[in-house]
This record gives sequence, structure tokens and C-alpha cells, in this order.
Amino acid sequence: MIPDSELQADLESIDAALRSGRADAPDSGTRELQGLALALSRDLPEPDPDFARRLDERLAAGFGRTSGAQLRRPRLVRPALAAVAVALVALAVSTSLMGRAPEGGAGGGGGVASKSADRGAAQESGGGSTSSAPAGDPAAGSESLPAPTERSAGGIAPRERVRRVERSASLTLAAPAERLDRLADDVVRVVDRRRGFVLRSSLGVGDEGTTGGYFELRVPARVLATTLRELSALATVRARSQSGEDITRPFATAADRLAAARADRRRLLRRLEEADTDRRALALRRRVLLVSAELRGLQARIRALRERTSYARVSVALESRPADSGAVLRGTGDAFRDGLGTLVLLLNLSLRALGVLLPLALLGGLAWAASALLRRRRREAALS
Amino acid sequence: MAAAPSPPAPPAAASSSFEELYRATFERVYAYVASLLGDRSVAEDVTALAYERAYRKRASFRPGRGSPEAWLFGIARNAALDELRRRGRTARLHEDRAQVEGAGPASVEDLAERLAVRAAVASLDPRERDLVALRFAAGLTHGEIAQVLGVSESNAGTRLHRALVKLREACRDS
Repeated sequence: MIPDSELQADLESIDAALRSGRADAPDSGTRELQGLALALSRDLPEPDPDFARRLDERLAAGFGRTSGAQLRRPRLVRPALAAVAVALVALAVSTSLMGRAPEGGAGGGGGVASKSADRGAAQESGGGSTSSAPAGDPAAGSESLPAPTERSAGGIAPRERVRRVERSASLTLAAPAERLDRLADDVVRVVDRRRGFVLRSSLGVGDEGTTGGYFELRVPARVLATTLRELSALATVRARSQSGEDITRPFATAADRLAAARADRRRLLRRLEEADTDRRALALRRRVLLVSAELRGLQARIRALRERTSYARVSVALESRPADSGAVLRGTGDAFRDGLGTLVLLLNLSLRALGVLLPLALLGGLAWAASALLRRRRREAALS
Repeated sequence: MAAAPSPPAPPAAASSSFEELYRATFERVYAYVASLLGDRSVAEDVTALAYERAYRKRASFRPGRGSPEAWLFGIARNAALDELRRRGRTARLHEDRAQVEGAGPASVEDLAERLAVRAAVASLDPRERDLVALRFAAGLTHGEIAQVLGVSESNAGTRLHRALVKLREACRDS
């Protein structure tokens, strides 16, 4: 093992020889090294002048593509694909986060997130209603009716493609007492515009005017979202909730029973036509009456179920809140709350996106570093 | 040759500073690449490719990371190694030596010395030959060699010294 000092001295002697062009070290061994270095530095391949000229031209042209040289592009396919994949995953995750972002920024107050997506009636299966078929049907008759068909068996009637969902929502709006009357009128105006109706309403009046109010509304289920949006825009939303109940199964059960009852009545009517004795005809008539009564009951039930899904229940409560000292301050306060809510929402989204992007970026960085290391090792392997 | 790294040039002057680097290094780059590949026509292609890559990446050069020469020779080395890998050959210095001869020897003694040195170089392993080429064909300093190879300067110096000692022993034996 050569001591570092000797090694350094040799290397410096070689450098000196290359600078001076002479191998003049006092030590013979070092002198040999110097001579070797000089020999190596003199015996070098020289470029062809024609090649030098062509390369000069290419440099002058900024290395535009020419037919002479073989251009080998660096392999960027894999890193590019990895980067694209990372970007797509980040975009997909961010988009889903944006879609699930909670409401409430613009409305201020403590809004309660909706339980189910609001897309009108009969669209998706929400919480399953497990009400069973009506018990003690008055028109059961002496003959037993066919059992419910397979499609309505089970608690949620999963095979029904068209879902029947009963939707309801509640909203609490707050406004200064002197504005509550007008707010109540606005609520009714919105409902009328959406072709709904007010089922029940009440307004509380005190010494200082209207103190509060309550509305029980029915609006077409397909415009529930729009109606809620318009109602929410009337005043400050203090609370909001939505719910949905899937009543597909009772609907399917009732429909099945209705079909069975109809079939039964048709069969009884045929037999009545063929009755050859008065006694038999009388018995059949009695049974026809019973089945007809059952039919009417089932039809009424189906109608009621349809109404439950065609119209959504909306309850609106009106509360008074202290008026601010001036319209400007009230508007400023609302604007401040809205702005703060928006900032909080943006911060939440940014944190969530960062929580996804940072690990992805770290993974991407590690993948890039691994790729670079692998590429370097492969190159070095050419010297093995 | 300017050894000190220069500060990044503004875009308008980037091409001219690259041209200066090109002029200062062209023959050395060719000598290094030809020493590694042992084939004139391939060396020309790889030299051109190395300069093209360096030209396209000139804006990415960072003076803090090392000298422009080390940066350029790193690109040239990678291009040469890619070529070797593509062709599935190990580095040979003396294949078709007639194609990569240097200037003609001045005398018979010079020719004998040259042949002896070449034979000694051929006895080195490819990594040692690469090291020798970087020092004497490319004319890089130990620090620049260390940057190209991604090792410490002392490591580069030690390995170079070891290669030269082996060369010396090979020359003595021949």
C-alpha cells in the first residue's frame, strides 16, 4: 500500500512533467511514471478535418437534424410515462376530493351535510325502508292470494332497477325580525315558482313584530335541489339537512299484490260466467267483491307511495336574528364569514391535495432516482 | 483552457460560451471517445452526439456542480458507454489501431515506445483504461475526473496512480 504522501508526490510529478514536457524527477520510478504520462499524452487519436468541418457546420446551425450523424435521443419514455401516470393519479384524487368538498362556505352558519345525493325522485337507493307488506288486508278473502313475487323479496328489493326514494329536507333561515314577513312571502314565492305547495305554515308575532315562522312544503322531487338552493339564497342558512328513504320494496310488493289481485279477479269473473247454479254464482260474487275491495286498497296504497316519491317534503323554519347596526356592517359581516368559510374550504382542499401529492412526489422522486441509478449502473457495466 | 467555472451566461450569450467550450475541447473529446471505442467512424458519431446533447442541455449546467469541461466530458462518457452497451462490447483501445492512430512517431525509438505503451494499456482492465483516457486523452484534472466518475478526488487520484503503476510494470515486463 503506497502511503498517501508518496502517491500525492507521484501525481504532482506527473502533472509537472505534463506541464514542462520533460520527465526529470530525481527518483527513477517516478521518472518512469512521468515518461509514461508524456507518452500517453502524445499518442492521441486526432479527428479527421472533414469531420471537424461538418461538426462546425452543425454547431453553427444549432445542431438541427442532418442525415449524416446518427442521432440517439436519450431515453425519456419511461420517466415521462411515470410522470404522466403520477399526474393522472393526482388529478383523479384531487377531482374526487373537490367533488366531496363539504358545502357551507357561501351559506355561512352551521350547515349540516346532506345524507344522500339529491337528484330527484327514483334515482338511487338511499337508506332502505324495510316496511313490510300491509298486514291484515281487509280484502284478503277466503282464498289465499299468491305470495309476493321474487323481485320484491328481501328488505331492499335489489333487483328493482327503478328506485323509489322518498326525499325530505329541512332548512332553518335566519333574518332580522323586520325582514321575516318579507322572507315568509319569498318562501311562498319560491314554492309557487317550483310548482309546489304549502302544506302548513305558521308565523309567530311578538311585540317587536314577527319572531319566527314555520312552513311545511311539498315540492316536486325533481326540483328539490333547485328549490333548496333558491330558499337558501333568501337569507342566512342556520341549519340544513336532507334525507332519503328508499321505499322501492313496499312499492314493488304493493304492485305485485295488485297484479295478483287483478289476475284473481279476472279468474273469478270467468268462473262467475260459467257458474251453473245461483248458489255458486252468489259465492263467487261475494269473493269478487272482496278482491275488488282489496284492489282498491292496493291502488290507493300505490298512489300514496307515488305521491311520497313524486313530492319531497321540505320544512322551513324562520328565525329572527339581531339586526346589525347598519346594512353595510351586516353585509360586511356576512361577506367576512363567507370569505372566511371559502378560505377554510380552500385550505382544507389544499391540505388534502397536498396529502396526496406529497407522497406521490416522493414516490416519483424515488422512482426517478432509482431510474437514474439503474441507468448509471448499466452504463458502468459496459466497462466490466 | 479555462479551468475555472464561469457563471451562467444569459440566454443571448449562452451559444457563444458553448462555442468557446466546443473549440477548447473538441480534439480532446474526440481523442477520449476514440480511445474508449477504438473505432474512428463510431467515435465521430459519438463525439457529434455528445456535443449535440451538451448543446441542448447547456442551460442546465450549474457552475456550482463543477467545471464546464467535467460536465461536457460526463456527457461524452455517457454517450460512449451507451454506444459500448448498445454494441455489447467492452472497451478496447487498440482494435483497428490504424483507424485511431495519433500523429506519426518522430523516430523508430518513439514508435517502439509507443507500441510498448499501447500494449501496456491494452493489459489494463476497461475501467483503468477509461481512467487513463480521462487523464491523458481528455486532459482532465483529478478533480474533474472525480466529478465525471462521481467519486472523491482522492479516490480518483488513487485509482489513477494504481493504473499508472500497473502500466509501468507492464512496460518494464515488455
